Amino acid sequence: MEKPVLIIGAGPAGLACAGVLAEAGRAVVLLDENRQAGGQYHRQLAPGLDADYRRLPHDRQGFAVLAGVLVQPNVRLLTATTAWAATAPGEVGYAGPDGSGRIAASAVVLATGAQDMPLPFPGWTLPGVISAGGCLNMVKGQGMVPAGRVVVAGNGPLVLVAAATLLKAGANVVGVFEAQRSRRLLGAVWRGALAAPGILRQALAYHATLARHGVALRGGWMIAGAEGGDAFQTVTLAPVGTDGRPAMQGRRRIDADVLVTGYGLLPGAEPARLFGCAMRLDAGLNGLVPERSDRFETSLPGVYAVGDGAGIGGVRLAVAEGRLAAFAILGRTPPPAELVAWRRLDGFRRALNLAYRCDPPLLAATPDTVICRCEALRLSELAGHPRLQAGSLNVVKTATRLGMGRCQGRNCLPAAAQLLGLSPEDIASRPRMRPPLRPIPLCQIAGDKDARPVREPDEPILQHRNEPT
Amino acid sequence: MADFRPIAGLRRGAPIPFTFDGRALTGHQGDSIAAALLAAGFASQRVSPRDGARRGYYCGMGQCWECAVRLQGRGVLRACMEPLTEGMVLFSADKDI
Repeated sequence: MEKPVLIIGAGPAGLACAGVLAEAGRAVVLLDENRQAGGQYHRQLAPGLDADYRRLPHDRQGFAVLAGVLVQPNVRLLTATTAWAATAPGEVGYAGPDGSGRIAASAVVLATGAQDMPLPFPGWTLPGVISAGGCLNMVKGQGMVPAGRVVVAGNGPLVLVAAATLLKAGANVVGVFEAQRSRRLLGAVWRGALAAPGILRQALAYHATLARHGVALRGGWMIAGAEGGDAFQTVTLAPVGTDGRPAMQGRRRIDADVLVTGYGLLPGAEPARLFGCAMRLDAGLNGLVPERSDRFETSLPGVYAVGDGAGIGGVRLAVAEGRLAAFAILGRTPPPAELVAWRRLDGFRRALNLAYRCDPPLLAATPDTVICRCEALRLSELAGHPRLQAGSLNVVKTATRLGMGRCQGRNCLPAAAQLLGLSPEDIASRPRMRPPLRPIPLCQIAGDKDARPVREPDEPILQHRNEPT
Repeated sequence: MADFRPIAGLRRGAPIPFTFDGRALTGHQGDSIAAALLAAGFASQRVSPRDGARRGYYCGMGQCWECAVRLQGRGVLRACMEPLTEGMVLFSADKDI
């Protein structure tokens, strides 16, 4: 029997890829950590809930088209399941409540989506300070909004999306603050009018929602800090200074109940690193991404990367890449129109990502600010550590426990590298990705029905460097 | 107060009882553990074992573990990723994480 194509992530990119493969008669296995397919963008209301969808942001038609593939007999979706190890070339270790084992695949597609870019500021660990993605998930997945006053602040398209979504759902949004200045964004907007008129129309609809509620989106502002006792109470906002820090002049304080923050999205590229794919930094893609051929294949033959996990680009681009990768796996020439559409979207997302990018980068942490939430490490403890001179994030990690908690560095390492002045280009100085990719219960590893010793692929770049210790 | 409420027109599932640190609470079928706790007014699910500061629901997609709780019989899990079920006995995960 032919081995299945294994797709990690059942969001827009993964589902679109599965759709083309299933139609061609290929066996497909989709793995997703969530309980339902859809990813973050197409997150569905949890089973047992129903709603008046006029107040909710779901694109139900768009999801129905993508999710149609899940009823195909040659497609299997494993939910609440973690892809935790690259156990052999073309083989992935998975673990979930319904079983653990290894899947040998004819091709592996990494469709792992995005994560929020952490921007530590004083008070960001207070309960009631919530990431934009986390707030949208409460709306989409649970049909809930903050009961009290909400301030939305950050950098990137998600600021506008979160504010408009909350207003439409009936939340009391009392302020919206974007770090980038509006005039920087205009050029990218014009490009969007040509490349992706649908995306531009949606952005205008979000602006119209804000206007209808009498809420202004202020450009050029950032969070200076949040205060509260046991929970968030007051946010201080400041104009973005020329050094990327909150200016001292012109600050304003707003009392609220929830602070929604979103300082951009990063590609969730850890699975690619775990596999040992060659990586590179690309500002137009918002960070560290796997190198890809024009067939969306990584440096490892048979391992493909698509969607936000391979470079931030949004749902339309994710769907386009998922389909194109499927054509590549099938060895077929893709429809020329789909390739043209992808090129346009790719140009637009690069322009948009660069337009939102703040230069110099935003810096809101003070010496007393917690950088590593899991280990409660403050900037002064990290910046003052003698081992910092080694210039390696990995050395700082082993010396201080930075990034050694349950989030495995996802919420601190990107910001820590920037705050400590360690070169983000130097991938070799970052801690290695090691299995398990996510914390999983030992009983799930013990239940691995295909257990054998786990291969740990070296990231290619590590082989060429003697790391200072 | 950083609590959450249902959006107008939301049809929730049947009410189900659960406890958090010994307090008897009511959630609904379809709630995640985090949603049930946020709706019940628990913006904070635990304190940091390192500095004792209160923490709560932050990333909402299984990355940060700030909303971790301990479920009797199962161990520490992410409240945002786990559906609430009837009779769950939950504790803050302060010392287990």
